[in-house]
Amino acid sequence: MSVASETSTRPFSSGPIPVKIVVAGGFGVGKTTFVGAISDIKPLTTEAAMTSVGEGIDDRGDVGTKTTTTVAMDFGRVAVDDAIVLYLFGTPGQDRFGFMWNDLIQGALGAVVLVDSRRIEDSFPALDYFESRSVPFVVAVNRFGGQMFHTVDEVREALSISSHVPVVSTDARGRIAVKETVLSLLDVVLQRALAKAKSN
Amino acid sequence: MEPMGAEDPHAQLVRPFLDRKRPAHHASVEEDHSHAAHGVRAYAMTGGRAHASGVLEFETMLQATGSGREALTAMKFERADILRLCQTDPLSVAELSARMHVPIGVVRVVAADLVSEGMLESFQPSANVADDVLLITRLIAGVRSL
Repeated sequence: MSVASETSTRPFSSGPIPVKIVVAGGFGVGKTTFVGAISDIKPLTTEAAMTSVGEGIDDRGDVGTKTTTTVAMDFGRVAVDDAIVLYLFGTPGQDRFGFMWNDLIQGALGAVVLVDSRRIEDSFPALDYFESRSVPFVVAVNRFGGQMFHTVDEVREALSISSHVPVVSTDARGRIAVKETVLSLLDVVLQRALAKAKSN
Repeated sequence: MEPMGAEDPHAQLVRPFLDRKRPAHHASVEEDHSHAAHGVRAYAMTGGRAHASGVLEFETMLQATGSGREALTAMKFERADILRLCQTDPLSVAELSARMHVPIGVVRVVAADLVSEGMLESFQPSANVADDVLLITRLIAGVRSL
């Protein structure tokens, strides 16, 4: 690395192309582990201050109170080829943080909703959000290194997910399983782009 | 419950869980971050602005330009930190935020100013990246061979 000339410091011939996917799900479902399994870097944590409307969640009595919350997001980065850099953002799945997703989902290709089959209700806010915004997503049941407490079909039924949304089983600790899960999302993204191109 | 794909997107919005009253305390590690980084300085630094004119996404990558590198010694605080960190390799807004321990919104505002001043070059895909069949195909091939 001795050739530190002006030109050699840029690894990207025509500039990097950053793309983003979101990894959502309830607390403790393994989002950071999932991101870390495929990331080139140890997942980093960033803080985002988000303004949200109270809407009685905090029982303040006055509807429409605006509160600013700082939430932490863990994210990782994968150099996919000589230009494309894939960012994976793991976001808190609590419904009261739903507002931060508006910022985060802007420009995102899609989302992986991680589900712990013992606590499937934790994924409801994320599912509701992505469904209502027509964000492409897949549901990935984290089998926590082997154990599956319910079948993929049982989870699909319990979540009442539309049949065109893939429900896959994954292992957030395994690089190959995580890669496959990301690919299943990208396939949904591709099919949607192709369908849109065809209809235009 | 309406069947899936009903006309009104909000008809599907509420799953049973959301109807339930939330417990008064549902402490989590993720929430514990909520009191961190509420510094006065961050607010002062952006002159009170919450939004920059040119919006940078979380994943937008930034790299110092020639004039950015020249101006570096005259810069202070976060402006200097940003330029220094992306002097050689491009870094995303999110990475800058993490490395500087500054909330992402602050980095977005300060970096957007540096971009408009020609100190930083920004790289972000077009807004309709999700429709870009070629890019998505390339991404799939790349992820497959990881």
